[in-house]
Amino acid sequence: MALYVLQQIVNGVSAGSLYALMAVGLAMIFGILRLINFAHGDIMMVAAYFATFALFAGLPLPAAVLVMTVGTILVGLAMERIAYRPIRGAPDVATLLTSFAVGQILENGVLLTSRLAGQPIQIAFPAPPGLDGVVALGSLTVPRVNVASFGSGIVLLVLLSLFVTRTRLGLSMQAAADDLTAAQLMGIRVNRVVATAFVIASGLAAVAGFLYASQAGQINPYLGFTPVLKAFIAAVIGGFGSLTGAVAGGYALGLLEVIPTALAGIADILPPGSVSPAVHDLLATLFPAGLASYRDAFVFVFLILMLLFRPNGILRATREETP
Amino acid sequence: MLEVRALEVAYGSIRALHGVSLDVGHGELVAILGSNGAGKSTTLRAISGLVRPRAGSIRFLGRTITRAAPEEIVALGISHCPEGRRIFGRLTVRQNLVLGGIQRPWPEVRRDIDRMETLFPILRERLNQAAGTLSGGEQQMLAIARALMSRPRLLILDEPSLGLAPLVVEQVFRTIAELKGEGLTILLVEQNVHHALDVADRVYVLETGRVTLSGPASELRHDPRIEQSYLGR
Repeated sequence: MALYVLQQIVNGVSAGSLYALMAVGLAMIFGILRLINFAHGDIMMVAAYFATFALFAGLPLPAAVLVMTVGTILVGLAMERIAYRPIRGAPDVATLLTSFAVGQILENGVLLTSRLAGQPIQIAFPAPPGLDGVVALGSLTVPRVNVASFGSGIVLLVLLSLFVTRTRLGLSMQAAADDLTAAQLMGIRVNRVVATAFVIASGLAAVAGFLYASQAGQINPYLGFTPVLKAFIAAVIGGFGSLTGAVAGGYALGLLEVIPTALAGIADILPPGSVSPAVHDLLATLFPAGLASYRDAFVFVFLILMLLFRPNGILRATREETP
Repeated sequence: MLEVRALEVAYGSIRALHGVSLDVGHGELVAILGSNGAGKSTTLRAISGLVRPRAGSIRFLGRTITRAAPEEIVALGISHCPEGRRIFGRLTVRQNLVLGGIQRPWPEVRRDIDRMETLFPILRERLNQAAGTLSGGEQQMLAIARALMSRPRLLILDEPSLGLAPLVVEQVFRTIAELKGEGLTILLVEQNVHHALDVADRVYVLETGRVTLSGPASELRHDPRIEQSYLGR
């Protein structure tokens, strides 16, 4: 029983790492530009394709990851320069619609490229050998991919927090997110700070895309849709715009998602005789085996409750606005 | 040092400045006075590159900066301490100071943080505190200290006494007088006319986007037109 719970927590934390990697990028760009970049999921998708084609070309794993990361960052930078910079300061609706348009362009661009390369819409991801199989931790078995997700998530997020608090460029980013005008008056180069945010966000999305593709085993041009929604929810849970909040929100969401799965059919997992037949029946009615398929509904209900009762995120009760 | 000529600024179709001209000489403390909406802050925003003038010119140390970017203007030696302080509330006092010196080499920034600690002793014990937790007066001191971190040749102060208790206002103006005593050139916008006239060398009065009165502070101190410009006649 304890093992079962532990197994679910491990699953939740590993999914949470992916959400956190994505949510941090959304929050970072929103913090500075007040732009909800829905194309962020497509950046992650582009990364999965870069990795796939690099692996198809026979590159070893480290080289493929390098090609993927650099390629994705370049796409992210181009997106900022071509689509977002010209409309900086435009009304929120305009920037939001632009991000949807960018997403469409990326999806169709990848679809076209993939077709021209003679590939089907759905491609099997050439899972790198190192990420196959499971690791045994005591009596717990964890897929290697999940260990990699968790490990790379933690390492990258720690590096990010060091960058943001310990370097002057990182501080500039925080200042620009806090008060863009005041940041300009300090002599901070806003274009450089915005470009840095897109570099970091795209780099993290690239890693998330790679891990996501390894877990799913196949890729298609629309794979970024669900992750960007989940990252959005994670960012909302954390209080939109806050980086720490986005990370916390990502892990919270990952853990939240396993609750329906963990509770599904719980009555049958309990050792026989450990609870009275009445309790057993109650549990079986409350948490039927089919509960797991309501996972997303559960998460969205939670999102609605969050927006109703803690719209500033779990970490911040109220956000004080300085004049 | 600073020459503003026939400056016109418009926000959309609303004209905020109709040809403002003013000069600030080396080592001078020049105050701009006027009621709300007279165009004082707009003038300052144009000087520091936050708004693009529609017409006119701004020259600083002989260079035209009319359409320069804010970061270029900071690099040339103008530091603008904005209205409402605008400190970075979630960052620490030290991080705020570091950001003030963002364009300067790190060893100099470290030395200057020490200098600010001696200049503003109240900041010393609060260096690692979130700036948002400081009192209004402390935040104003931090805003001035942060503006000084870029080692400006011209310091622009927009309403430094806004929303502060009378005793704290005295303190802020003592600091301004000290900075002037050290030879710093200052362009000050103030609603607090008496204090402004006390520290300023020269004064410009703005009304609805035009300079309506200017001259040495000593001459204008008892000029009834100063008071009129505030009451809006």
